[in-house]
Amino acid sequence: MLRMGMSDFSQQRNGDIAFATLAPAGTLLEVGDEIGSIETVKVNMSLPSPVKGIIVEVNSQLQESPELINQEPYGKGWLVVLKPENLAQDLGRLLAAEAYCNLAKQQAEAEMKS
Amino acid sequence: MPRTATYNTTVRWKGEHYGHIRMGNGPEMDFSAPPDAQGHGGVLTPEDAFVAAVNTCVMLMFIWSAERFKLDLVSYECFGEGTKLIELDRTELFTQVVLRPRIVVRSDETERDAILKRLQRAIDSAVKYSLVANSIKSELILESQIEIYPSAAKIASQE
Repeated sequence: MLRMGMSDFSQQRNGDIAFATLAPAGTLLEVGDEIGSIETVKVNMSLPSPVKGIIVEVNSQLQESPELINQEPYGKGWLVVLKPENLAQDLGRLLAAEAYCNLAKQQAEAEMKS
Repeated sequence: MPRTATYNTTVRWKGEHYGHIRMGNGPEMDFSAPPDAQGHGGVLTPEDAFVAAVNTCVMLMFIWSAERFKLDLVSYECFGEGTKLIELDRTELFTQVVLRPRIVVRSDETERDAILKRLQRAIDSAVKYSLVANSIKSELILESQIEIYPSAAKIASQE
């Protein structure tokens, strides 16, 4: 099982979250399908799934408290639990945490300079 | 993505303790110092402009936040007051700006708690994302007064 959420970089970059709308449990997602969407004070944003699988659990707390995504993106602010179908293959296309962190850092630094 | 923007005003001395300002967004008006600082009544002063900049910016950011948080806003009115400190060496600064918004939103009774929570988050976001609030070194204090009207109620001002 995979517990998925927004990265800290992404939540910080997009602002205070007003609403989070998530696909229901039982939804089959292909890579790139929408897990859900968020509406922040600044933007509306679609959240594509990085892996194929079925949603088995949705974080119901986000209905009342979407700010948990901002407060604890790696804790209580998780979005869904997914039962993956092609995990090994899908993971091969994704960045490891350290590589993602470096990429985020590079993007942030590039934006600060521009 | 552009990371900066610029805004401008042009001021011109009109004689005595009067000036004229042309804002980048169009309006023009005379200004002076306040009467307690050798100026004149009835015109814009830098002191009023400072408090107005904070008050207007926070209000506009709140209106935006209220839309984003899907609040049914009925009214917003805010008294703002800046406190000036005169130091021993006679330099002056605004140490504090207090905003007292009176905010009325409409809600179903069953959603009252959720709406109150969203409203507080909208207020917090308004301050957090207000350009002017972020740009001043004065302490900013919000003393909000909130009212929730039932959805079915007729609002007197709309009758």
